[in-house]
Amino acid sequence: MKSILCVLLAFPAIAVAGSSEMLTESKLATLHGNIQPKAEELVWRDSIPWRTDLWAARREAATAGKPIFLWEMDGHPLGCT
Amino acid sequence: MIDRLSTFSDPEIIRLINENFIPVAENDWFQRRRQDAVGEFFRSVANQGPRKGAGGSTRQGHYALTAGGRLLAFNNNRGAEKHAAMLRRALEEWQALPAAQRAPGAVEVEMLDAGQLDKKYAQLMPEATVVLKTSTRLLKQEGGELVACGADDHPNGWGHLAAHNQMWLQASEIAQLRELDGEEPVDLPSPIAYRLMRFHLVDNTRGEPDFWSRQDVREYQLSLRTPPGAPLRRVIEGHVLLENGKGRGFEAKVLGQLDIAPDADRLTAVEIVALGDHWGSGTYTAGARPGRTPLGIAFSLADPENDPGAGVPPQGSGWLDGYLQADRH
Repeated sequence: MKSILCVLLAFPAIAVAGSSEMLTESKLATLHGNIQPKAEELVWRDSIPWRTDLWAARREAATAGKPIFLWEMDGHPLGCT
Repeated sequence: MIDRLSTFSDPEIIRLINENFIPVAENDWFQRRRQDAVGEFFRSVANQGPRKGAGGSTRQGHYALTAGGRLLAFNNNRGAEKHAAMLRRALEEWQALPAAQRAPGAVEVEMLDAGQLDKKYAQLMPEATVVLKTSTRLLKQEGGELVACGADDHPNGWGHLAAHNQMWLQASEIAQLRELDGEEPVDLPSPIAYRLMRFHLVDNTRGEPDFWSRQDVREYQLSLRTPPGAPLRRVIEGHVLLENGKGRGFEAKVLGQLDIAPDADRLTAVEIVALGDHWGSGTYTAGARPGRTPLGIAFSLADPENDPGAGVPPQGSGWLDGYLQADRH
């Protein structure tokens, strides 16, 4: 018993039964859908036609006679942030 | 993440931008370092405002500028009201310019070819790249099922939103997957397996995550097989244990499939999920839920027609060889 307890304390990651058991073939599609962004989470992306190349946007703005709006972040605003 | 919700989902902000501006989003970390015409242009604009990048520091924020390189307005605020004020101020500055400077075609901007771009920081997508979209979400148990968390389930009020990234595969790797054709499971090629684990099985729901080192991959088994009657489908399944020795880890099961095009080294569909328990925060992502909590990551085929983010390099691919050969570096 003591040795089991030691293992549990030393390797909590392995010892605890986890959520992963709920990933089965029959639940794959539902889980895949639940993790995806909902429509209201994509308003910022789908309502504004973001370009991802400042130089190309500059050329486009010059041709259209419009100013540029530039969103700069450490970590791409349309990516992993 | 906060900007997406608090600023760029606001109807008035959307209207102001769409009616008046050419909108562009860029990664400041790379942009401010570029030693080419694009980097010079950006720095010359930023230098007109408060973010002069002293010592190489951040220049992140929201800029309104002319194609000729004049800064019209800047802010680094969140919230629709402050942002709308900044956009209106920029439009006033724009309208105050002589009409000849605002006219279509008044500014000439040369074309740049790839050879003129900074190879280190321009982050060009390699030829023959297949792009997967990844979504990451905090989950919770409800009625025996795992469902998406809501705003009330996370103390910061936005960590429940799905986070995004891209995963790159190479056409040569798709060809390799095509050749691994058998009903008996075989190992997923290790460059793909390590890329998947180290750069994409991360909790990025609160911003830029720390990625896993090779040493953090404590245990994994990821296999590939062809299901009966579906010669172009590959089922991926297995489990991973990632742990950095500093209180952050992810233990997950991976399951799903990808479909290979019959006539080319590209994919026609991807449905893969990594699901498990995550614990701990990253360097820039404090505020994780306490203890081991359910985290799901879904992989799909990117849709460049409808998602401008599909063209954005994966976070973590700044050193491309280290990203693509994640099993060796």
